[in-house]
Amino acid sequence: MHVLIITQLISGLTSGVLLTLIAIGIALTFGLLKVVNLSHASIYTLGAYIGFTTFKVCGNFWVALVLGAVIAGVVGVIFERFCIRKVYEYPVLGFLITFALMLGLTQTIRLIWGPGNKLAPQPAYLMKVVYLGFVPISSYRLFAILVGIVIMVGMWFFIRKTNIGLIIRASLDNKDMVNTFGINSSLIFTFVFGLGSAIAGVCGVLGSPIFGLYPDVGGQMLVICFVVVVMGGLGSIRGAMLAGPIIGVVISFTALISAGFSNAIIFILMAVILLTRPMGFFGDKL
Amino acid sequence: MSGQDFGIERHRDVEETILKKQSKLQFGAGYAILAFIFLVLPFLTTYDVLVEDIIVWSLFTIGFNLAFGFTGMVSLGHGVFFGVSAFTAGILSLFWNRSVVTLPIGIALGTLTGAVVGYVSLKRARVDVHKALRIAYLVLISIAASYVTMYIFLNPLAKYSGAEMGLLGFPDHPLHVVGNLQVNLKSHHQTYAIVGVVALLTIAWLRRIASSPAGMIMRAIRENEVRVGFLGYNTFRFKLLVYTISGFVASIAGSLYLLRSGFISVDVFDFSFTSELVVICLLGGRNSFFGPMVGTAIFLILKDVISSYTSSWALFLAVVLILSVLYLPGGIGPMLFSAPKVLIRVWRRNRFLAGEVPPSK
Repeated sequence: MHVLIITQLISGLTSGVLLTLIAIGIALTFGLLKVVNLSHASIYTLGAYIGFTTFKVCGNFWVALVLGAVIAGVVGVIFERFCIRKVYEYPVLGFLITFALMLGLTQTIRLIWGPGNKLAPQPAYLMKVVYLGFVPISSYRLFAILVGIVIMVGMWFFIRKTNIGLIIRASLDNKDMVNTFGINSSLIFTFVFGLGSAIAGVCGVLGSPIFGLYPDVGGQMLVICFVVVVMGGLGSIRGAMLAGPIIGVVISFTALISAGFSNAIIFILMAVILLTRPMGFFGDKL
Repeated sequence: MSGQDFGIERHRDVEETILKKQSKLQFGAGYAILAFIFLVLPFLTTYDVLVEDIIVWSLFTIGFNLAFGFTGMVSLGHGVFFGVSAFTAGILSLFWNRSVVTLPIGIALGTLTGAVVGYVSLKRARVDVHKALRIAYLVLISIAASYVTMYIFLNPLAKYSGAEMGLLGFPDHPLHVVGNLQVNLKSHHQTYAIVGVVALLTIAWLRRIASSPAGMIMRAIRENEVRVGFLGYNTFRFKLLVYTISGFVASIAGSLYLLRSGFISVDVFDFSFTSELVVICLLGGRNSFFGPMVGTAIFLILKDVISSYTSSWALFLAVVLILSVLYLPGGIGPMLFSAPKVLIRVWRRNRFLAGEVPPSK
């Protein structure tokens, strides 16, 4: 029984960390641009498939991670520059256009890689099972948690300690004032969008052995990520970091009962939190 | 700078819609065409299924647009009301009583679901919340509703709803009305007539609402909710009313859909089903009342044609949606409706240039 609980906890934490990373991208875009970015989901899927192909061609997992991040980031920048840029400050249109981008990219992925499930890339040296006391734990999950935490710390350092991070925080507060200082904030927006997309791409490569690899995986993830973002407070990175692992653990425990049930339960949880704490855990703060 | 032009353009468009007064004649002509399409066309063409689909979906999208286009509330939960209504009616008539009473019960339950979902999400998306947040909350809570109902109909109610298979066997027996009068569900003519008449009446009722002072307030709420509040209106109750009405219309559409096709599956609870409605409204023009109908016709015909050639219908849909958001935010409908006026103007100018008549204002 204890074994089961610990295994479920670890697997919940793994998915929680990955969910947090994706949610941070959504939270940042929402905070800065006031656009609910649905296309983030398909960028995650794109990253996963790029990682799959790269791993098949060259066999190196690290190359797959980097390439997944780079291509996802580039696609994110293209989306921002040519489509999403035009609908800032129009939440409804922004919602629609990102929905269209999601639809289009998912369908493109389906055309390129086919509609079925693929065997996700996983390097041989991470397929071993580690024993924590007497509890067997997949070493890949530990690796994913580790990479996720490294990226999160990097993000925190970047936003808190660097000049660009300072500009991002200032833009979250007052965009016009940042422009007045002679800073090209539109460039910063593109950069943030690209960064969020790149992180989603990394998550795609990391998460495909855990969440599976099929064209609609992004949509499934997106819905859960939204719960994370809303629970943490839309636009709040700290909130996402807290809510992500909670949701991950809740899903992994309720999934023991039934898969449909876990979906229903996290949404009930979200509705309850929204009704009691409207702004999420940390409100509008970064 | 293109972003700015875009904004100005959109506001002008909105202003025109608010200030424009419809002439009685124009409305009457429009309604006659509508009645022809709804009541006669299904009997004339061989594409009767497509026409019937367009009628039911038009009703659905026009009701949805009352919340989406007129009041500015994005919801992905209308498929839930549609589905709850259809499933309730279907399950009750299969397992309880084969009479038409089940349809109103289904509609009532669907409307109730709409009111509850609307209450929860609108309570959260209050005026003091940023506009983008408000939309996010509405969307997310409606997605939550879609997952919860999907779970309910897939697991606890699987015995009745047929789970993934969908509700089967509905059209096998006639539905009793009163005494010996009954609706034969296998007779297309009877279901056509019911669907056409009910849809026509509902659309007339919605049209009445949209052109009333209440309709003005809806549009005012979309433009600036805070100011409407300053004028002394309780915007929360107004929005809840509109949400419930559009849920009611979605429920009617659900029951009609069941009556027409005799089949309903849990796919309708998926929020991607409702997102198609958003696309339709945007394509047809969300600021105009009959715009969604044009959108529905274009959407369903395109879907029919394109799916027969390629499986990448979604890719095509995405391209159309992106282009229409970027370059045609007003939608196709208003363009189509103003076409006769433009033609008349051109014709008059030509006559004037030819020296036949003095220019008329």
